[in-house]
Amino acid sequence: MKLERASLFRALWTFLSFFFLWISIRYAPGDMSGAQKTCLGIFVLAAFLWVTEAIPLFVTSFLILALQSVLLAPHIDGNYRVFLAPFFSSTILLFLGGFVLARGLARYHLDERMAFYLLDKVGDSPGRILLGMMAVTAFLSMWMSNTATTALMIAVAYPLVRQLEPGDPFAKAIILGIPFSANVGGIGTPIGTPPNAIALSALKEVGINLSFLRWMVLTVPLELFVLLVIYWVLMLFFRPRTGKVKLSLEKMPPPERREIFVSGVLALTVLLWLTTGLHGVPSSVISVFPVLALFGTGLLRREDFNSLGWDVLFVIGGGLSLGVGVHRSGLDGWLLTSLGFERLGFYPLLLIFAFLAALLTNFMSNTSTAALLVPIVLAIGKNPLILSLGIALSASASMLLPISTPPNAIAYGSGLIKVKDMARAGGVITFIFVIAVSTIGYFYWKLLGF
Amino acid sequence: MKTAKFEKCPRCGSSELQNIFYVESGEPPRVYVRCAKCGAFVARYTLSRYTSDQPYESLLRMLRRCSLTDSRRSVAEIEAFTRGIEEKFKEALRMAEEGGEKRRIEEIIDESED
Repeated sequence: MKLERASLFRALWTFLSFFFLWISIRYAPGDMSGAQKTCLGIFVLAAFLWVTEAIPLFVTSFLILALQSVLLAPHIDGNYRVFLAPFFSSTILLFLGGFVLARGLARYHLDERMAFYLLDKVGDSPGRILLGMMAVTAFLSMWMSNTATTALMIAVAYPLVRQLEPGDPFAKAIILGIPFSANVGGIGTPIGTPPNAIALSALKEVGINLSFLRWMVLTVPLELFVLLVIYWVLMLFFRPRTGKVKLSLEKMPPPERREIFVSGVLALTVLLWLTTGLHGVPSSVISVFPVLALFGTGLLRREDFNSLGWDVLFVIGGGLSLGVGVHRSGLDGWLLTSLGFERLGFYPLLLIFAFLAALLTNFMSNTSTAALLVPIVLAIGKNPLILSLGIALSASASMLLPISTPPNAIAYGSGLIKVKDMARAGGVITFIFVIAVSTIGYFYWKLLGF
Repeated sequence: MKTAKFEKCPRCGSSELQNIFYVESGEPPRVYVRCAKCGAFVARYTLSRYTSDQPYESLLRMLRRCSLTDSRRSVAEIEAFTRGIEEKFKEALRMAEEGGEKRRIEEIIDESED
């Protein structure tokens, strides 16, 4: 019965999204061109479907592609291929390489080995264990999906949580610390989380090519700051009752040759990504190396390839494609002028968009949030790097609700935390996160010459 | 179609069975079922997914190799996964105890695929 009602609502939301598409095109302000009206309609439809999740996010991406090709292309130059190209852009290839590496790590338990190795050194005080858990989660999340990292680390933390006295608030600190750190960890590398891909691609469109290393230099200090904030907030809200806890880690056998080979591929890929400035090979092309090395040697199989996060790649592709539509139709410029953003100073703009991104990302996917906002801010023409980074990073501030992001949903599924626990701690962290991005980030990026 | 039945030994008809969990590198995990009374081979299952009596921990293992993008759907699916198993187990047990299903397991699987 519950399922039927959910299906009914999905059908209703889908119908409404098409109704909004029609309304937007039919009743758009008169000063808009045909292309702008059509793109506004598609933009509203995409936003509505992304918020309601009436259809899977990747299906919305295909819908964007279809609508732009059929309705928008004739208004521009009839070339639908510009909307198709983002689905296999260099950013998508970069992410594909990241997914293959992550699959190699998981298949050969190297993620687990790394986690156990690092956690073995954290000692037995609750504070150190929480900080250790968070640091390992954030580090792994820079290279693996936030979902997979959260699942791994909660599984590692679960025995510890079970040995705590019933009702010890420290259990909540651990269970919340993991998804929050995974969300923040994703900002540290271009492949850490999809909003980074949206920002990188959009910046490329305006002639700014950020290397892998440069991205890390710009984001890792902020990541570390926000991690410390999360630690501080969790220890304040969920103070441990016990002075000592024991982290029981499995003993893993010595690595086999295959594991050593996969570690070598991982290390070499990361090294090549970080040194693009020296050898000149683009990071997206380097991403082909792990695909060749791991699938070519049979260490990963066809099943692994089939189960890579293709839906994530298509969600990114749809977001990028929508960005192309917004730019080509001139909707970005129209929105900025009509909403009065052009009259605002740069800093208020950064603040407004960073907070808007943080608000939206808690109710819709972080990829969709970045996909909707980044193309608009780029039209401002003022310092696109800081604005895009501000939005992409704030889009990872999904800490309020279980529905904000899949890692939060996984933590909530443990039954150890309530929505109000997440909202209380997550609310404070989100606020500080956005303020940090728009103040510390702003001045730090300015200091680096951007 | 919704049906359930107790699996029985084809040789002696006993319902007392033993599961032998078998894993071979590169192959999907398999379960061989043996009759606990007469030792006869009863059936072999090829696993696509395993869930233990701790469904949340099984879910964590599964999520390590898959991606989730839709947050609202994720919450619903995770809740369904952890709560649904117990409910489905009770339903299956009730149906099996009623004993209404007389077809062979191959026939049931065959028809469920139609």
